[in-house]
Amino acid sequence: MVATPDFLDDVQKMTLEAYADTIVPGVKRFPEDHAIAGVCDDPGSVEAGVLELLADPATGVTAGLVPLSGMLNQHAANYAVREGLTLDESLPAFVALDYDHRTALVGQLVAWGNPERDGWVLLAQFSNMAFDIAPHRHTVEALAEGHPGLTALGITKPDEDGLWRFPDFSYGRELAKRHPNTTASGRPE
Amino acid sequence: MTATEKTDVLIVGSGFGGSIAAYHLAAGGAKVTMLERGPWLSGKDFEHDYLLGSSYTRVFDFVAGDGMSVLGGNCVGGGSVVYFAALPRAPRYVFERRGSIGRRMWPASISRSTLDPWYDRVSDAIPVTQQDWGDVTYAGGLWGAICDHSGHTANPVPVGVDNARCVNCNWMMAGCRFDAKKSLLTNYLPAALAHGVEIRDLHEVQKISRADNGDYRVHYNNIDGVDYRVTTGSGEIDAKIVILAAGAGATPPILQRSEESLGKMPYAVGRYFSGNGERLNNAVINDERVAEVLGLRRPNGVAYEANAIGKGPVVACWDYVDGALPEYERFSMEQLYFPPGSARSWPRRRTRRARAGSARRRRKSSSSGSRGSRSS
Repeated sequence: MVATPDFLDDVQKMTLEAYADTIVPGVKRFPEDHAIAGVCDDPGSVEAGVLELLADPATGVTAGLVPLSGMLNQHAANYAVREGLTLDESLPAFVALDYDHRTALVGQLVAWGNPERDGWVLLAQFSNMAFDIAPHRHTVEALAEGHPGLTALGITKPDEDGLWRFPDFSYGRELAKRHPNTTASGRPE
Repeated sequence: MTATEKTDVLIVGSGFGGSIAAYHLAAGGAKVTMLERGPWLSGKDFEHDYLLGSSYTRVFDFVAGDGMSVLGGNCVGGGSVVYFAALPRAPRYVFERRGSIGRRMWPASISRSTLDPWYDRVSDAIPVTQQDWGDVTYAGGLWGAICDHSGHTANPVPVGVDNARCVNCNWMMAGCRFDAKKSLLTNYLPAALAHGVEIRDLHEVQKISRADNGDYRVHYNNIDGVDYRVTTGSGEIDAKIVILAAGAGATPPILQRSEESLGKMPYAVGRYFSGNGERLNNAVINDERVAEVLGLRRPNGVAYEANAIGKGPVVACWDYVDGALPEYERFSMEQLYFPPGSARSWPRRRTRRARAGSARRRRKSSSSGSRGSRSS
């Protein structure tokens, strides 16, 4: 399992996980996994380690996580009132939303004109980054552990020294005619 | 109190703008000092790693501004360390462009013809290599085949890459581990150093003022080598000549901060920015169709599956690089593997990294999945 930051309580962790799962959804980790909506059949941002990434002070957002999670649940509660939804009170309000409602609310939060937009876009970007490149881990180690995003992107394993080299790299034949105005040195005129 | 340091020429920034001037001035006998905001890295420092704090983040600076955000090289060598090293010359018609009142927009002395001797000189120094089809990567070959199939031409692109050293690792935006990419670290900067140029990294210039004797006085902050948001000191250097080559995003604010001493700046300083002219479009490659329609096969039997193999743009379609076309319908189309990542900003609006990209995977309800990274 990936590490989670110890300065967040369970409500805050679930809320931030649910946000990340709205950006890059994944499969539920266990049957009663409320944070992950479960609309995807393989691991998403949460299992890719989004909370571990957000806890890295190098991201610059770590200090904002507690207030962001609180704001998100407040927005979710207001959203539920507007939409006439009855939420499961045992869950954080955002976690209690189903995936389509989570997506609709996040769409409003990241929309142009929302004064809080920058913060929600940042959170969405880190949710993507955790999955796309796992910047909280050495890439070689993350790959060896089967990181879901790097694996989905088709990143292959490097050479033994941790560097990528591709000696097989070219079809090695002419595949198009050159532009008629190409100079002798191969440049556009 | 220590006396202010003095030099003949103070150059702000060690990218293309600063390094080439540094070399020529030093070779001509001037005492040249360069101040660079980022760190001084070289081959072994350039890692194949997306981890925050690896070279992939150290060599960049991302400024999330108010209305404009700037991603730039942030290291000795500047943008040349992170660039894709595709180096075609600007076509002739570019310099003949006329604005809305019919006036030629470039100065009369600048045209493709007057620039060609200088292009030649830079091409020798970098050096720029003309590629053939045997040099281009699978991605470039695929792009060429797609162009050909749709009735277009396509050319292997001149590049600043030593193909004998290149291993097609596709990590060139993190700096080239193998010195195959011809950044300024491999040509102009070593030549400048040989002529006595002094390079000081992790120096961020704040403003320029006048010294009592009429020289320029350049004020800088020392920047922490790990967290670029942290200032560790400050200082001043006096110079007879200052060359401001801090990049399109950083030069204007330095000038604006210098108004108190240097006087009012022209209205255009800090305005009329342009993007770098690129539009990135995603491509989702269907390997079966690549084999069926384009007849491509790799030695291992697969048609493509090579998005991670390669370097920057290596094949371009120049059918729309045509001065006879209307102004906004002229463009070059190139293939590019854009490394994954994501732009990000900091609370203090300064960061030492960023890349953009996204991956999407199959939803349960979706019958056709897509995956990939940005390409253009």
